[in-house]
Amino acid sequence: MNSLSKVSDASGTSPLADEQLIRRAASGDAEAFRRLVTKHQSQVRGLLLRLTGFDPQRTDELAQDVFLTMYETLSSFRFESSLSTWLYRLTSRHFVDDQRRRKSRIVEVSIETTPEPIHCDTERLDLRKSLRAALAQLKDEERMAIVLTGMEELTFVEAAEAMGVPLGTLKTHVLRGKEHMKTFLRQNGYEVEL
Amino acid sequence: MKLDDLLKDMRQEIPDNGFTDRVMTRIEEDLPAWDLDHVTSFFVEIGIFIFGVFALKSSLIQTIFTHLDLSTMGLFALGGLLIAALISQDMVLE
Repeated sequence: MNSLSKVSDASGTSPLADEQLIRRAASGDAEAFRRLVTKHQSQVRGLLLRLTGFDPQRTDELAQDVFLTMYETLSSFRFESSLSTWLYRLTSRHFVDDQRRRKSRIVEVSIETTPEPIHCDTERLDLRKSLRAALAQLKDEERMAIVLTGMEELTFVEAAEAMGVPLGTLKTHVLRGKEHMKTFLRQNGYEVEL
Repeated sequence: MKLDDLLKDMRQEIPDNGFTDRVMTRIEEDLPAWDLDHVTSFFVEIGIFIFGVFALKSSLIQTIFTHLDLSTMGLFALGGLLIAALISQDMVLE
């Protein structure tokens, strides 16, 4: 990929399709790459925020790493899947690698670090905190499977692809994860159905 | 309450808050500019190599290395190329 010194013609603010932006970014158009980051940062950071147990600092660092890798490898993108799916896969791998480096199976719960939407009432706030804690106490693969299928609403096939595991394994992680969450929430006074 | 509904409800948009700028800054700082610098360094290496070959073939150098055979001189040329490559790589990284 060319250096960032080359800037696009900045022909306007109309939203461009990912494919156009990818092609332009891969040929060195810094403005096109910037637009891709702006467009997909919420997806990547949202996923990482949930995977890291709502750790905003670690999320920010990992998300930057994801986009750096994206910058380096964008020219090899073959358009066989959507950019979103590719980013889910890239993000999941970055998280797994980082987690492996930390040699920790269970992430720390930092419930207080991420602000809740201000419209939440107290009861709802408590429930969300418990949900975060329930999510954070899961094993990495269970949490990732739940986040990808339950929150990001990927299909099981897409989630399995993003995690690099067989479909059956993904389904097992989802089922076990939900059961663990249900048990955790029950211990905290919440009855939920699967 | 259904767990699936609760999970979907936890989704929220993350505001940019300067994140894109931080990414662009890191790209400019962390990644070397590969294109032009690499092309330049490539031609510098080739230039030094050609110069080295001509120098080795010149009578002055041949007089100095008159006792060396062709393969030894070839090794000198390769060594010169390696040094040139290392120097130009440092130039790129800097």
